[in-house]
Amino acid sequence: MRITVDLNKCIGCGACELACSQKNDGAFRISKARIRVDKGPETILRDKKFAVYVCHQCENAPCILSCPQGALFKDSTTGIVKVDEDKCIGCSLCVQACPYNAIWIDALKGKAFKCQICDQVQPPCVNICPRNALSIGGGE
Amino acid sequence: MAMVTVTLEYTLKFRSITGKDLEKVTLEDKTTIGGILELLKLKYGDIFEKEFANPSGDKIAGAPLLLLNGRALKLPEGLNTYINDGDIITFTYAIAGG
Amino acid sequence: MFGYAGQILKVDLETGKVVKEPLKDELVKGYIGGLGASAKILFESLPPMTEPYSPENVVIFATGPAQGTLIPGSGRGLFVSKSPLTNRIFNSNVGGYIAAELKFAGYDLLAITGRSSKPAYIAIDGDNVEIKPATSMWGKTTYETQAMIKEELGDKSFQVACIGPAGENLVKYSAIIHNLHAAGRGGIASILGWKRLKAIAVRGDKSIEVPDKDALIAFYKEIREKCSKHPTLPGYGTTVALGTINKLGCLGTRNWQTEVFEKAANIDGYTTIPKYKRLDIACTGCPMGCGKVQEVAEGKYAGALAKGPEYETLYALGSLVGVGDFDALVSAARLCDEYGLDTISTGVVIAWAMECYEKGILTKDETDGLELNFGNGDAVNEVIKRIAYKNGYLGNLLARGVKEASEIVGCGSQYFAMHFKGLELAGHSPRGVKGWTLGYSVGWRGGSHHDGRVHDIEYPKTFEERALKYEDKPEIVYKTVHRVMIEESLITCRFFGGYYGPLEPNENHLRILKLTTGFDMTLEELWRTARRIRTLIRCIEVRDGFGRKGDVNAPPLRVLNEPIPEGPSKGAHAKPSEFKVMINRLYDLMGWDRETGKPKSEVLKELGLSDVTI
Repeated sequence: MRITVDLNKCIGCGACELACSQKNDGAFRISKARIRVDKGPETILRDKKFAVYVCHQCENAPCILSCPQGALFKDSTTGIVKVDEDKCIGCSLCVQACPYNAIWIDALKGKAFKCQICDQVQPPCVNICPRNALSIGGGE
Repeated sequence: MAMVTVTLEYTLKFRSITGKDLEKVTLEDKTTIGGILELLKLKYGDIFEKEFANPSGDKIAGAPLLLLNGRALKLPEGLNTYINDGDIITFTYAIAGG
Repeated sequence: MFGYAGQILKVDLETGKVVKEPLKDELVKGYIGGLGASAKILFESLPPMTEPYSPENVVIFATGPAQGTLIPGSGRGLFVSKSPLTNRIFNSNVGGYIAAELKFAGYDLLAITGRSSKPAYIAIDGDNVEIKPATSMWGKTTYETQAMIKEELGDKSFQVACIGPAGENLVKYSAIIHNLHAAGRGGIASILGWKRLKAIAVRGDKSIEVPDKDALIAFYKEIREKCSKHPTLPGYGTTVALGTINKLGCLGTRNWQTEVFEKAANIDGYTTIPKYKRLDIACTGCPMGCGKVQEVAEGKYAGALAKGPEYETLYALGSLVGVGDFDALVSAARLCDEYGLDTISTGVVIAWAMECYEKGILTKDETDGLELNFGNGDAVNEVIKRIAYKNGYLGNLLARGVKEASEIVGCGSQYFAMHFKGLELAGHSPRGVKGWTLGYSVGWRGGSHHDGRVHDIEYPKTFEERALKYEDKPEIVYKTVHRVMIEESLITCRFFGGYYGPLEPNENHLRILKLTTGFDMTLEELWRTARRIRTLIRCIEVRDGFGRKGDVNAPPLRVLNEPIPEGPSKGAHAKPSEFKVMINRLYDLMGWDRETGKPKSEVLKELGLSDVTI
C-alpha cells in the first residue's frame, strides 16, 4: 500500500503537509512533512499542475539498495519502506537514489525520514485533503 | 385570457440543472414569481423552490439571488410579485470575493 | 508561545544590521498581529510626515497567529508601509505561501529600513539572515527573479517575494509578486525599488504550536465542509462576479461613465472558465481553492498564462477600459504580473487616459501614436509595457497614478480621475452600493474594496436597500471596518468573511484566536482591540496631516455628480447631502471629532492610547 495522488485534483494548498507534520512531528512544520508539494511558480506555469512527492513504497526500492548501512528496509507484512534510525547515519545516498524525491534528511537529527503510512486506515493527509486528491491504495 | 412572455435566465448551478442559459416562457397574466417557481419545480425538481422559496444554510456566503430585471427580490415576500410582459428573471448567487 | 513564532526580525539595508527582538506580550495582547501589530510598530518608528521614498520609511512584512496553521484562509500575509500613492499607512495583502514560511523561519514580522547602495535581496534561512547582491536579477521580471534566486540559494522550497521592472522604475502602483500571487495595491513595490531591495527569500525549519491541535483540525474540517458547498469560489473563483455585478447594473464601464457593459458575457467567468481554466490553486492550508490559472490557447495572444484574471482584473482591464476581448485581457493581466503592476490601478489609469483621448484632452502626439480608444485591447497591452518602463510621455505620465496624472494634465480631467484618496477605485460601485460611498471615503486606503468591506452584506439586498437607502450605512460600515481590523490582524482571508463575519467581530474570530494562541478574549475585549487598531491607524493618518478634509473630499466628482445613467441600477446616486449625513454619523460612531476628524481624547483614553498625541 502507499499514498497515491491525483494531480488533476491537487490545488497545492499543502494541507497534507500541515496535517502530516502535525501528526508525525508534533506541530505544524512543513519542512518535516513526509509528503511534500512543489508549489513553485515555474512548476505551475510549465506543467499547469502541482507536483507531489510521497514515497511509492517501491518493490525494488532504490533507497534500500543505495543504503550502505542497511538502515532502510521493507516491512514484510505491510510492504511499507521504513527507516531504522539506529542504523541511519544521514549520508543522504537514499535522497539521491529516490526517483520520487520522497525521502529527506532531518539535518538536526542526522537521520532520513519518509512516509511510513502513519495510519493505515485514515492517514491524516488523505483525511485532510479538501479535494480528495489523496488516497491510500495498493501497488507501486 | 391575457398572456405574458418572460425570460428566465439561469446561471451556475441552475444552468447545469436546466441545461440552458435561458428560456422564454409564456404564462397567464397575474402569475407571480412564486408561480414561476412552482412551474420550475414541475419541470426540474426541488432545487428552485429549495433555494428561493425556502432558503436555508449560509444566507450570506453565496446567498441565492433572484433578480427581476436586474433588481434583487427580497425573499420570501418577493415571491408575491406579479410578472409583466418582457420581464427578465435571473436565478443566480450573490457575489463573493473580488 | 502558541500561534506565534515569537520574534521580530529587523533589517537595515544601509548598515546591513540584522536584529532579532522577542515578540512582546503587550504587543500581541493589545494588537493581535498582522495589521494591528504593524500599526503599533509604525506608529512608534515612523516620524510624522515620513516621505514614502526615504530611508526612514519602514516596510513591514507581517503575519499573525493564524499563519502556519490549518486555520482556513490563513494563507495570507501583509506588506505594510507608507504608500507613495496615498501618503498614508497602507497594508497590501498577499496570498500564496510566504507568510507561513516566515513563521516557520522563526519570525512573526520582518521590518526593513534604510536604503541599500546596490541592488540587494534579503535571504532568510531560519536563524541565518543575509543581505545578498541582486545585481544580476535587477531588471528581470518577477518570474525570472524568483527562479534565479531559488537557483542561487540551491533550494526550490524557498518562498520568494520580489519586485519587477515596474517597482525598480518607481511606478507608483507597482506590485510585489510572490509565486503567482500579488501584494498588488498601494505601490509598496516602488518603495522597495527605491530602497534597491529586489526581493526577500524565506525558508524555515521551525514549527508552530497550537494549544489544541485536534480542535483546530476539527475547525478546519467544519469550514472545509462549508467551502465544498460554496456556489462560486471553488469552481470559478471570483470570475463570475463580473456577470452578476453587470446584471445588477453596477459594473464600472468605460471609466465609470456607465455601469452596464454590453460585452460582459465575453469576459464573465461563466463563458471563460470552461475554455481557459487550466488549474485551481489555493494558498497555504486553504480548502476553498479559488485561484484560477488561465491560458490563451490560440490566436494573437496564444501562450498568455496567468493566475487570474479574477474579478477585479476583469473589471479594471476589461469593462473599465471597454475591452471585451478576453485573450487581450489575459495577456494584459500576465504582463502586469511579470512587470509587477497592480492590475486595478493600471486599469483605472488607462481608462482615465482613454477618456482623455476620446475627449481630445490627450492627443495622439501625447499617446506616442497609440489610438487610445475604449475597447482597444491591443493598446492596453502596449500601454502596460510603457508604464512599466516609464517609456515616452504617456508611460511617464501614467506611471504616477491617476491622481497625479490628472493634476498634471488638468483641463477638467480630475473630474473623472477615479480614485479615493489617491488610490484608484476598485470594482465595487460607490453609486450602486451606497455603503461603498462611505466605505471608500473613510477607509485609510481610500479606493480599496477591503477597508469597509460591505459587500457580503449589501450585494444580496434589494435595489432600494443597496443603492438608495443611506441611513443604515454608517452602522454597517462601522461594523465591517472593525471586522476587517480583526481579520487583517489574525490574518484570515477576506473570502472567509462570509463564514467568519459577515458583519462584525464575533465569536468566530474569538474561536480562531483561541485555537491559535490560547488567548481567552471576551467579545467586548475583541471589539476594543479592533477599535484600538483602527484608532491607532487613524492617529497615524492625523499625524501625517489627514483628517475630515481628506474624507469629505475623497469621492471622485463623477461619483457625486452623476447618477448611474442606465440599466437596472439607473438613478443610483451618491448624493452629496446623504454622503455628509453618513460621514457625520460614522464619525460619531468612531468617536472622531466632527470638525477635525481626529479621534477624541476620551476615546484614546478608553482604548489605552492616552499617551498618543495628535
